[in-house]
Amino acid sequence: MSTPATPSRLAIDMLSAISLRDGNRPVLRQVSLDVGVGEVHGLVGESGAGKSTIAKAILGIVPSQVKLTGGQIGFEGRDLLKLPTGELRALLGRDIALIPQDPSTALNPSRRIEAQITDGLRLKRGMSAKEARARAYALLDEVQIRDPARVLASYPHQLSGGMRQRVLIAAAFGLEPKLVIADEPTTALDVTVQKQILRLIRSLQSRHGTSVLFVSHDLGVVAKICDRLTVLYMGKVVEQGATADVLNAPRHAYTKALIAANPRYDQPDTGLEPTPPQVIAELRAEIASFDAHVAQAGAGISHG
Amino acid sequence: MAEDLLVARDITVAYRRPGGAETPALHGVGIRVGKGETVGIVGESGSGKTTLGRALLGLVQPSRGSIVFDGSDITMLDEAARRPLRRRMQMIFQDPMSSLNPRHTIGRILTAPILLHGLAATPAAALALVHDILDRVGLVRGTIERYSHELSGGQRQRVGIARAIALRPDFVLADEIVSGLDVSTQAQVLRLLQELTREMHLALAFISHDLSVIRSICQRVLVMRDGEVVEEGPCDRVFAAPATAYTRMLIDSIPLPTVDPGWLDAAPDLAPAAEGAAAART
Amino acid sequence: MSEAEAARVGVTRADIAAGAGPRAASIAARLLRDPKVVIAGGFIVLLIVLAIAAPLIAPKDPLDQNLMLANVPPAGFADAEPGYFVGTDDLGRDVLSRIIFGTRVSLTVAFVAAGLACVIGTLLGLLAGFLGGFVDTVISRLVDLWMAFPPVLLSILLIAVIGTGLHSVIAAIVIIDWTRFCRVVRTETKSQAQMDYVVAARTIGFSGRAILFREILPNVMPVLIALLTLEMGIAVVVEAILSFVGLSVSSDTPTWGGMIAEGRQTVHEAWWVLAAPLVALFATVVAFNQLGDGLARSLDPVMRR
Repeated sequence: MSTPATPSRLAIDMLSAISLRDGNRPVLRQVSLDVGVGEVHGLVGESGAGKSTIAKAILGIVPSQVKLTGGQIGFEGRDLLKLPTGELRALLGRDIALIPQDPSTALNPSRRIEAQITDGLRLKRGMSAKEARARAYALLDEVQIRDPARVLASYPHQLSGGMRQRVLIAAAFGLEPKLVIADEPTTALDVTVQKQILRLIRSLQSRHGTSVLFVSHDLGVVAKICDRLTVLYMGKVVEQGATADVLNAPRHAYTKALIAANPRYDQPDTGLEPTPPQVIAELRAEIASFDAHVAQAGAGISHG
Repeated sequence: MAEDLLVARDITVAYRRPGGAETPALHGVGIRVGKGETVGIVGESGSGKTTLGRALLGLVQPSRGSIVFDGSDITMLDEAARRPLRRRMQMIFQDPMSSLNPRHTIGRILTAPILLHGLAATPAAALALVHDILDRVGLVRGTIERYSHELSGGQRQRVGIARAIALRPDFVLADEIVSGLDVSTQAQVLRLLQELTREMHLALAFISHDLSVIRSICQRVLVMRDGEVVEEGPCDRVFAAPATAYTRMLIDSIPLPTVDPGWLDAAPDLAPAAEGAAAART
Repeated sequence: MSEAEAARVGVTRADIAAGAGPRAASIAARLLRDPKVVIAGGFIVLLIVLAIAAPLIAPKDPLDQNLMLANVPPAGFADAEPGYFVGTDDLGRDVLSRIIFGTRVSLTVAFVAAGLACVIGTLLGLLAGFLGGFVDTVISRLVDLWMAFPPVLLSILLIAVIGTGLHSVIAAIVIIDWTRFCRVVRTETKSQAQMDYVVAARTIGFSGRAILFREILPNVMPVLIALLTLEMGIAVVVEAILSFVGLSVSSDTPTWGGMIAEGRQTVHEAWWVLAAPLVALFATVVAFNQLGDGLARSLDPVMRR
């Protein structure tokens, strides 16, 4: 596992999980990754790779059919997996925030924007209603919303997708968290809006020194905003390192195939190369032998 | 230059909102698709690209304009007159989950159109045709007994493609068909589509919001914005030297999988500086 | 993945023989595997058998009065009479036989009334949901107007006009409850009509009728089955209520509702006269609901996964 350039803020170590509904199929296979202070770390993989499971594990919202079977998530010197619920809840929203994937379902449709932002401020920072309102205004200003007063008074359905995402970003960064988890934050947006949102996240992040765990399936997006990458396949880390290294000189065949499968507008005839079955087969063999070793080690421990 | 198969001119479609106000979804839009040609229709949300596709297939009635298919004007045809035409113009949908009847087996979904248009006389004959098509799109024959919820996203999309080509149409409209797919599955589907259009000499109108996907299989591209055509031309030309600021902005907003520190700061709503744009494209 | 699979799997003649969709034998097999269907369905079948063969199965004549044996408790209690398994009422009539004969009325109403209400309501609901526009407006307004009438008042009025009897009970239920089907089916049809598979059917060139009955109806079925079995339970209860107030069949014919009315008056001396029809009613309604649940689950490919 490569180490970040700055001291570590989030240290996931050997995180493992299984799916109880699928005959205990492994969902995460000893995933380790490190996010440094002020670093934007990309978590990349196709659907089902386990990216959102990791995000949920950090936030403590792993669904009931998934069981974490090992490892730890180190944050500020504490293991999040072992924290009592009350302490974890205190951390969330204050030190760890989330930018969700779909802005249209993440906001309560029957409450005005102001209420939804000030809720968190008052609960987590103990602000009075007046202070919270002023801060909400300042936050919307910071995310370059031109008419904060109007937006604060609006309901979510009155705003565009890009606007809603800005509101969510404002809410996430508004509490000055140490770590922000961005769960595919631009997937539901138009490509021009996406660029604005990415720029916004980057500028807020660098201004406040926030660490970001950026979950995405889009290699292009992570290339532009992430300092380091972790590539995931079937819950196992396949490749890890500085973004430039991973993209320009990928070491694993899967990473190479993933990059090659992406169409590029500047190169015709790209994007028609599916991952060769050979590569998948080898990767699955790798994973199978990994699972076997884990099982053996587990049996070994229980026997002696 | 391919011989024209489908030519639409000055298409205007207006939606009447409950209040009575009319919103133009399409404004004087024109498009030309030649035989065997793949034309991309690109635009962001609200651009009208989906409405254009539906208008071409006669699912939406334009209030103005003309659509000429293989020499005949089909704009004002009613459903009965249009029926024989249906065999020649088909569609592939974005969400195969909702475009495949969840309570029909795949076999039924694929044999029904074949029997309706008389391409086979008996269910057994239709099934034999279906087997060939499944082989062609890379699905196992056992798929005929499955229901759509038992298949993966990529497999469902292949069924959608199989259904569209089963009638051996002349023209196919593909409406955002790879949007929800993993990049590897997307590559498989795009490659399959490219092979099929070449083998069957299909004219294909490919709607997408993703310019990179359009570049990979389209010869020409139509850029739409707010119900109008902003730019149109061969892909090579449009991507190398976009004629309008909007197209340029669209292209520059696409993140390529290369590390480029200056990319984020190049504002998407201004004409990008020359070196920034050039660097993004090399 | 599919390329590799295709390479590995050979062609089997069986694939060609397989028709589209399940066959009758496999449907029956699947149904029999669901415990709900077996138990609830079995109970309903039992009721049907009882109703049809009542004269052969019932131990006594349900109308036979014997004042010497009035209010005899059920078997197992003190003072029970052999041959009267659930005891007798205050006119000495065998409760069990009356329950058995009562199934005739209850089941007739359940199947006929619910069935008719279902057919009428579903047809109108399908048309309203699929055609929209003027047809939808007319039907929806009709439903709204209809549902504005208090159902109890309407049934009493109706029966006052056409007289009491089984046909009146059935008519009353159908006339009031078709709206329930129409509303639900209309909503479900409307939402299915928006789906892309309907658009796909249009692009292929299917006629409106084909789309409505081949494509949309199967997707409305689960809701319909649930509603139908619910309605059957309701019909049985409504009949019981109407015969409780004497507006159903003539008092010669034993009905569960009538038995409840009579049993109410002697509940302290002979609780079994009230308990028996209540249990029968309850069990029948539950059986219909569970059957509907089980049927929907077993027959629906989507819910089966």
